[in-house]
Amino acid sequence: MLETYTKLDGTVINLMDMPEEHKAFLQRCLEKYRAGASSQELAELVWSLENPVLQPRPDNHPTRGLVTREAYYTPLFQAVRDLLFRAEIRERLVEPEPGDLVDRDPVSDEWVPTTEAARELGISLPAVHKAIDTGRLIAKPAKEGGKHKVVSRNSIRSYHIDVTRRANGLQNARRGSAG
Amino acid sequence: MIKAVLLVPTRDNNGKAFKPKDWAALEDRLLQFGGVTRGPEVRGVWIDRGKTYYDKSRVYESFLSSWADFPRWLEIVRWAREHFRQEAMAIEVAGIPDIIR
Repeated sequence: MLETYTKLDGTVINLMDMPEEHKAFLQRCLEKYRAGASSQELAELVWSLENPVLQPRPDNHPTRGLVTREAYYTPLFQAVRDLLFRAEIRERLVEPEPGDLVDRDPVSDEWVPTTEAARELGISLPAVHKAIDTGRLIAKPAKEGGKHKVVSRNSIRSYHIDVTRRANGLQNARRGSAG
Repeated sequence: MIKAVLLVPTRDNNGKAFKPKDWAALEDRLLQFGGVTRGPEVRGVWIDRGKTYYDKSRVYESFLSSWADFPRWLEIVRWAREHFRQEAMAIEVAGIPDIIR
């Protein structure tokens, strides 16, 4: 089941609200990638009219589609574009950034209770719920129809990195203004 | 509608590949013309000042709604030449090929 997609840079995409048609296309791209398809083969699929977020080109090319700005930043295109980068990295056509999650399966994740998320992040339980409400943490019901939630561990990592980056940025800004 | 094609080599002249953020930055810039499309990779040979370069390029196609958009598109070509550390960039606009140095 596709629930989250973790990009090379650790950003986590919530796939749970994605239309079924988009999930099916992402699944096709994943299967192709896992089967060792070349980046060229994968690019042909990602940038094709089979991709449900692409639209026909003005020159009515029979297979290739046009990606608009709106489509480019959809969860589906961001996920399949990232998958294509992974295939290109595999063929050394693209160089990863230091720290990129090249070897991690982008759709594997673990789910932990909100109390554990709060403990790992060093924040209060209400703060965890607020982060879930604003989409900074990804969560789902622990049991179907249940009230209790579990949180995506990849989104906890991403939240932690984001908070650390912000803190470092603030510290650097303070240093800059002090100097 | 004017078709504008930009070929971007996958490596610089020292054979170094680019990072995902480089390609994402190019694609984001090209989106301003109502969208962008990527074609199959092409192989090419360049001879510049006696030196032969063999490269593999990505093909990005844009559809300009008017010639008035052409200067903005050309700015992106010049940005790409600098950013992707190239001596020159191959383009084709309305079916006419050219090299931008």
